[in-house]
Amino acid sequence: MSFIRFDKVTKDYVMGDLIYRAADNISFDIEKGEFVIVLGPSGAGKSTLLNLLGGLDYVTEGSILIDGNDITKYDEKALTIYRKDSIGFVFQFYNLIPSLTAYENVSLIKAIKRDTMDFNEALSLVGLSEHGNKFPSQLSGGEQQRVSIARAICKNPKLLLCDEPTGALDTETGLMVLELLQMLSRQNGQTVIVVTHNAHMALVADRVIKLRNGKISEVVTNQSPLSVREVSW
Amino acid sequence: MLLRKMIRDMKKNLGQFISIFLMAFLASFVFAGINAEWYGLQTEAGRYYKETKLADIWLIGSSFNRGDVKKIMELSGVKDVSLRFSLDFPTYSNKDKILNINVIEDNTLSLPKVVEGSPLNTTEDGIWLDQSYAKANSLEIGDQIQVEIPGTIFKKDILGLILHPEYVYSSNDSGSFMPDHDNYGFGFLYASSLPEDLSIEYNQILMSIDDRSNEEGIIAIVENMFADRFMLVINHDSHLSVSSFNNEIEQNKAMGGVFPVVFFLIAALSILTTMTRITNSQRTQIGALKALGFSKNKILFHYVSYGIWIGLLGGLLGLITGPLVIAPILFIMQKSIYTLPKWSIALSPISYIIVALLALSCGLSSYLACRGQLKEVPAASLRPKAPKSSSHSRMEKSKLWYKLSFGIQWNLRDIIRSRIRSLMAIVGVFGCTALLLFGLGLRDTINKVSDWMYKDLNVYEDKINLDSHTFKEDIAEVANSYSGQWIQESPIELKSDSKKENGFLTVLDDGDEIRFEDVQRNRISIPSKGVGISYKMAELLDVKAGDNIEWRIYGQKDWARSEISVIYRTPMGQGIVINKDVYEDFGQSFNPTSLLTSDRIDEDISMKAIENIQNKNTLINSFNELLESIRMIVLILVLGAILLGSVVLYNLGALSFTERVRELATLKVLGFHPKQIRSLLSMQNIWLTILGIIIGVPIGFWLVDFMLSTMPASLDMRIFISIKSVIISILGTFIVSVTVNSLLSRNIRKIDMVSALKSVE
Repeated sequence: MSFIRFDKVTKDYVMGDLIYRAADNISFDIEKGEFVIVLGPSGAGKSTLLNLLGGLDYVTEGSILIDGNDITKYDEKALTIYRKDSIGFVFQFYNLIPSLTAYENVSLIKAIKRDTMDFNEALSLVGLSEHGNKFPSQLSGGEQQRVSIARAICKNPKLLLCDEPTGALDTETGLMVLELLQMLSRQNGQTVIVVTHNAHMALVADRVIKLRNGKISEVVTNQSPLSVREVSW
Repeated sequence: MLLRKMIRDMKKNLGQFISIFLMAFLASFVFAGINAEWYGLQTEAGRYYKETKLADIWLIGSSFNRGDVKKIMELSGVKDVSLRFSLDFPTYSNKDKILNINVIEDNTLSLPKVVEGSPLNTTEDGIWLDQSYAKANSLEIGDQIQVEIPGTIFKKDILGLILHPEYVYSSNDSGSFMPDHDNYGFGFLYASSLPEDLSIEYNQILMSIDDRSNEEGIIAIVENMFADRFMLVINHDSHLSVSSFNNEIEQNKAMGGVFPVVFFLIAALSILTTMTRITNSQRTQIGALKALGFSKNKILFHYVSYGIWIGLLGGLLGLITGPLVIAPILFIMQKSIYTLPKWSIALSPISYIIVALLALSCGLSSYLACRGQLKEVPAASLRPKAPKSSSHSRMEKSKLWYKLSFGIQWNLRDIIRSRIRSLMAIVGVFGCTALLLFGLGLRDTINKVSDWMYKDLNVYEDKINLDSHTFKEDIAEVANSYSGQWIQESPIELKSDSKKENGFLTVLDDGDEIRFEDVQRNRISIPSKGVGISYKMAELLDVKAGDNIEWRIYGQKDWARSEISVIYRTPMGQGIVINKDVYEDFGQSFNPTSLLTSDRIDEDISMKAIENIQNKNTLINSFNELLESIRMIVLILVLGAILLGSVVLYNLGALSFTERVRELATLKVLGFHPKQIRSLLSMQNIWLTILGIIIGVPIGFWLVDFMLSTMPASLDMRIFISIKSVIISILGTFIVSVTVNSLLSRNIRKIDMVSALKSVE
């Protein structure tokens, strides 16, 4: 059995009289420790997929098995625990708490979880051990995104979910963030799923899931993924 | 078009604008209500005094005659002069009731106002009687009443019912400040209708003057003119009725100035935070408007108009409703104390100015809020705003900071970052606590005065007042029947090196029916040397124990000089107390005016010497009436407090919620349980509530103290607020805060994680 299994997942959004089908009968598997890219143009259903995986939303039909557990059967309370214990989220706009320093943004996890990574270690893993005392407003976009990655990985999550993590960054900083994510997957065995519309990224992934209009158009497994610096951007 | 945008923006932020509107409304509601009340009283009294030609100066003495009038008329600045005979007499039908009989000729000053019956006419034979007294005793026009004037008793028909400008506040007793219309009234009759064999000596000269600024000079001349006679000069400041009523007006004026301040402050602060948020969220719109070519001033004016409209609408509504609601409620209480021909409300120009100020300061707050946004070049304001900068405050440098939990750090920073919001929360909370405490404290204080006065100080049951011109043998009759403590009470003038006041002298014979307490409320006795002076009188005269004061009984010529041996505190009747032996050492003779007794007294006793009998319970009851009317005010204050607290906290809670919705959504995504988020949010609320309460309690005490300081000089109330009231105020504030918080935290469940995180606002 795969680490993650999407089984005939459908998600409908009801907007007034309209029903919008964001995910249409989607099935795929992901193995543990893989670096996965979900690719597709905007509106293809990438974020829907990620939100369902992260327990932020409910499916209309189908099941999602994580490590053998069907999270579509969870109620709100169980989903909260699932998010807390199993998921690390990285957002396009970082979503750091502006009134907390970098270190505090990471260490706030201790309010909900006991078995965490050492917070300084998490910060040094993302290369920011010098900047722990700075506020988000004193950090560059790339640095802020790295803080948000540190916040996500210090939970020791089963899954690291990244929604357009480089979307708000310039190319060079974006690459650094991507490199970091790939390194986490290769060196730490972290399962990482990145949603993007940048087709170049497919080259660095172990597995690429291509979406179009809420349906899977192609799933590619990459036998020899390139490292980030090898790709010409 | 921009007006339509404003209305839609307001609809979108309905809760906040309603609360700003409410605060602006309450500020002007309270202000205009109280203003209409005191200004109405002032206007009405002014009209009444003018209509009845109230005298400016009264000379009280004896054997005044036409010659004296003529002499005074010749003085420059004197407009009019009248003679009057005026004295208190018991009505023989009932020992307890006293009528102040006034005999006039064709007087032109201080005329009664006839409200029913025949108009004043020198040829009519009969008496015009105090309307309140007549009502209380079910007397009607045409009834006959008995009148006593020294030497004669005769009957007169009641010709008409009257009010009199010198009896707006009528009290014949220093021990009670509630009027007792049942037992004390006044009547007017013309000298021509007196029995022919009776000749009276006029004991008052009434004067009116051209210009109040000349008053002192004229008084000095008159005093000099009659230096060889015993005489007392009274002006508006020392006239019991006129000055008490003026005091009341001043007191309400002061009250009306203090309370709206909190609401005013909150309205201005709320609009500041709300407009900051609106202009922040509309910065791209502002950029777009600029790009379209709208001038900076036009946009500025647009946002400023939000504040002006809200302030103006709230203010005007308050201006209309305040006088209609608050003034009548205050009138209920005042009607039990004062008698006026007409009670009407009138708004002074200040009220309109206050509403204009309200609108302007709301406009100014809006201006301050959006000024910053407009400074940017259009291109910059089209881009999303850089995150609000944070910096390390000093407290974070300490080691302790790192030991604090995330929630505490988060909330502390949030408070520091949103200073105005936090400040407002504190102002709202302390306003709530202070108003609650003020209302309850006022009740406690007045309650306590009753106990203090009638249980601790005056331990006697009855006070038997003696007729002022009785013979020794008549007094002996009383003394044989009842035992107790004899006292003499006389109005006196007091003088220190720098000040002069009017007060009461109490001469004590042996006994323990009346007690004294020092400033700390320890029981003391009046030493057998020197005089005791009441605390308030000592303050007014600026003297302390060991100093000398001079005093003389009204009408006497020579001043007595005494050393102050002790200072005592009493709520009513300020003056000095002296032991009988010391008093007689001055060469004075002790003429008892009352017997204080705890003996059982028959209600229908009849002894020649007894003028009337005051039962303590009657006094306590009239005091309780006052308390009854204060209950209404307490209710208004409590409602105002709850409204203030809940509106401010709800508004701020909603504001802080929308400001932090992204942070809250992030926490939710990270796996924080809604309960944890709720406790994070309520933590800040509780801190600010506690802080507000800590400030609010002393302010509540101060408000009560301030209120007491505006009381008339003859009253010395000590602030007393029971522990119970303090606890109720604190608990009440907490309940408001917790209720509002639980209402707000319902929204946490509704946060949509997906859409809240998707994009930058």
